[in-house]
Amino acid sequence: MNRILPWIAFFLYLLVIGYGLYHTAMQAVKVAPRSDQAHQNRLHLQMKNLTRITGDEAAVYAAVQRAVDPEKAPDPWPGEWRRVLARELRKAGTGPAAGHVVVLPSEGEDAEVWALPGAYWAIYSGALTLLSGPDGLSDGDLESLKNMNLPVYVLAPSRYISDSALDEIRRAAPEVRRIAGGDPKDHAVLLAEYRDPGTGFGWGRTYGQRDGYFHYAITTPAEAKTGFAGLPLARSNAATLLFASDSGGVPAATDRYLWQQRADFFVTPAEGPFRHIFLLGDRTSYKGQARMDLALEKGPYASMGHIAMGPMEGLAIAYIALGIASMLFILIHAWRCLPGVMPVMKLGWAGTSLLVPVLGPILYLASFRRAIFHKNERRFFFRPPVLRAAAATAMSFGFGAPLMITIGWLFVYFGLPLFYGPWAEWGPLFLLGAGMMLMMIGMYLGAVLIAWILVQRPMRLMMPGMRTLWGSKGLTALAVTALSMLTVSLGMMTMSWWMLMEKIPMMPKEDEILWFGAVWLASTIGYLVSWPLNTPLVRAGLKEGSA
Amino acid sequence: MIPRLIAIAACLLIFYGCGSADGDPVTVTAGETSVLFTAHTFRLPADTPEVQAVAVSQAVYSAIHEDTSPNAVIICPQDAALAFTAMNRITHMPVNAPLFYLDSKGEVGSTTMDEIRRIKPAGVTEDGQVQAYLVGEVSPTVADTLRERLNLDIREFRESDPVKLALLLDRWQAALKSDHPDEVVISALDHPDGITHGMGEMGWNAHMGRGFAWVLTDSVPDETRRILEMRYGEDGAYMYLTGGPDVISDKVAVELSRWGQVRRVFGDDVYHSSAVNAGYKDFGRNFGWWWGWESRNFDWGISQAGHNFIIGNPDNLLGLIPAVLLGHMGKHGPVLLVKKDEVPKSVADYLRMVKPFAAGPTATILNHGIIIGDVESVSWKTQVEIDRLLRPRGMRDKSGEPLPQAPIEKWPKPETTGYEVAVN
Repeated sequence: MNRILPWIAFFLYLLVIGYGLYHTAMQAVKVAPRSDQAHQNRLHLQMKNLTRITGDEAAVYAAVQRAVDPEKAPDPWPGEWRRVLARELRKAGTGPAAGHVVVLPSEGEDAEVWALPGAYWAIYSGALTLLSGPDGLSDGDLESLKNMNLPVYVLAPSRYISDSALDEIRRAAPEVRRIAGGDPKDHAVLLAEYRDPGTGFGWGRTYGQRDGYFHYAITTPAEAKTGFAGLPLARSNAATLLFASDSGGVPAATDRYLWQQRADFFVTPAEGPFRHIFLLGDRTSYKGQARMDLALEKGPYASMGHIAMGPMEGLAIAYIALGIASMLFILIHAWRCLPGVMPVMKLGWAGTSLLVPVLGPILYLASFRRAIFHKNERRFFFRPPVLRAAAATAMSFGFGAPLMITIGWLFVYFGLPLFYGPWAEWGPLFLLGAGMMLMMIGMYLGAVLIAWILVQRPMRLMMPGMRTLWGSKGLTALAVTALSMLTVSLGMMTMSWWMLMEKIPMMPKEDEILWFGAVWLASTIGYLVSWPLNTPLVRAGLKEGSA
Repeated sequence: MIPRLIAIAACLLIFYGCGSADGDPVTVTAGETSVLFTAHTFRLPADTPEVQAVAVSQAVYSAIHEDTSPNAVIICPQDAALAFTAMNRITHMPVNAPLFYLDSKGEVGSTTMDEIRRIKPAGVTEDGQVQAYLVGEVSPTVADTLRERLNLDIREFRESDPVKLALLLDRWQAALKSDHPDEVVISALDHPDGITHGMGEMGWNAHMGRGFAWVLTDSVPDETRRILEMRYGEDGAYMYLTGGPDVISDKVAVELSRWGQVRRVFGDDVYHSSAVNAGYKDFGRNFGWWWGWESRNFDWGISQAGHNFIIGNPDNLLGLIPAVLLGHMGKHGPVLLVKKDEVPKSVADYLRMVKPFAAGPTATILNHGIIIGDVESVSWKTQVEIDRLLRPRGMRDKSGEPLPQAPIEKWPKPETTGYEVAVN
């Protein structure tokens, strides 16, 4: 029985921490598990980072014009996308001052879809804009290009404006460049990110432009005409055009781009920049709309908020992955190479390596690559005092620290208790009712109790010849466990408090990787603090460190 | 082979779990959003405070999964002082909760009930996964109904006296955050404009979660003394009085100085006070202890372009109080007060000061305004005027005429200086 109990402790923390990490991963990748209920009983479709403009192209055109020029009577929808483009270009006052010329496709199936992203740029920039069929520009347009001597950007693939047409333009202009994505959604993102500072072409709204105030107009390819109805937004709000999916969702290219456009904050979320979407048309689903709104929600620098991954979260994932790899190494190595060592020792080193990545395996190898001696029919390793202390620490830390994380996770999963009666007004007494304090006390007491019952007491019963206090191996195990875990807690709790209450602006929840990252790092600190403090216990014969 | 199969299975599991944003088209029969937005504003219209609170919640919480839902909801009677106290102390993280009103019968109305069902609060980790906070003397049937119909975990702050409620919430917050925030907003309970003068600071508290206490115009209640006693650090409390000497007397200000530093944040009227609050900032020392130190950092301090504003009519006080939720998530901006048919000069001057401009060839700084209430509260004309004040300099600034040329590769030259830009 004594041999089985440590395995129960091992599987207990593996199950809870494993489930916690799985739960965290699933929360991060699920797109919209509650969407059916979320769309019910809404009074409006406005969201904090997104304005939805529904209706057909005529309704959207009227609404957008009224939004941009409230005092002016809106022009009627002309019924054809080329005509609305021409009208809005005229209003925008395009000409050679922009420093370049834009050529958009005008003929062929879905030509308006391909023309739409470039049209938004043309309206915003005031670039002279020409429409071209597959066979190229008219002679008059080519003659104009010769006179203007400006670089030309052809914004369409060759099936809309052929390579031979491009050659013709090349003969009329000093520089011609074709810019076209693999499909309209990629094409829109490509234009959103492209920038040629030499000619002034392109939005240049990349991930690197972290401080830019960017607005976006988004529609679906099937509603490209509705997208043209939103053209005034290109001028009033410097809006870049992106595409949602005809199936109502957010295509990968747009999704990736919008998440990169999530702004961070360093002091308070009131600091800029802010970004906003105008979603045009009816086809985009509620789920798609909500995901886009969420993508642009500000997040703290460390975590970048829910779903998105911040830099500290990246470090946390790498650290945890190293811990898991270190633990796997110990489990495989110990069971293949150390057949004579008690399983409880191997499990102790595995648990230590989980929370002390890299250093754990190094100490493990240093501890077992040693000469062997026998005493009381047991096998021991010759180790210097510093390694005896490290091994002794690992035996309590390897079970105690993962159990503390297990209990801590259960606390945050089920919620922290709070007490705040009138007595809480007496100086620092309020801390005794504070959730964080109660969780830490619970983590310590719970881990000591479980580790004592399942690991330390059975282990001590299996080891003859160790010093005993008060004539009881069980009580000795309890005292040593409590003392040893107290030394671990000194580092672990202090670091946890600092990370969760001070360093990270908002205390992470149980489904955030930053919570695991914080307690993982705190555990490592806990081991480093506990290691030297275990030396007196080894010297006093209360811990062995040689087995 | 086996590791490869495990890797493939793990990937499939994750992809299976992801789901998709594909779905049915969305149509709006009322078409309200199409009518009530401008290039730089949008409106959350409602004709009652109860519905206004729901309209605000719907803009903030899309509720497609746990992380786009609030952790809890606050439910209180249609009592401005109680709602004001609750928004000051409960809304901010880690609670993250919108405020809803009970109906005139003291029950949860159907619109509110539908909204709580829609957003499905996730639970406050730091407070036993509580999902609803009932504030004030709320009938026990409310809690029973919420438990039965929505299966919510509930905490009740059963206190109808706003002064005592502030003390109760202060103790609860200290347990929640293991700290008493030293910055304390102080408003006058017995002055008719006491709450309105403090709207801006209440917005900051919803945004940043600092302290709050009530005083009377000419006296400091015992409960407030006890709140301030709990700020026992080296400099005690940093108190911010929301109103001039006519709202909170100098006698009270002097008495409060026993517990720390006192500052007033106020203007000539409630509109001016909102503008002063938006631009006010107090930062500096709080306390230090050899290795660590903590600064104080109070109020918005927005004096430059690139921010957003919650704009409403103080006559619609009950509707405006839950709307400061928009300062807590999304646009994160202060409250500005306007009249139904006019942007008061103090507010207009402030908005001219923070008027945006083109910051580069393809980047224009942008401000945004969120109008609270229907056109009976803030007229369409006023919304348009606000839009004019918010829109970037040089972009159809006056008459809707376009720029003669686009701001490409050069900074646009302003046509006028900030205070000369014509609004109408």
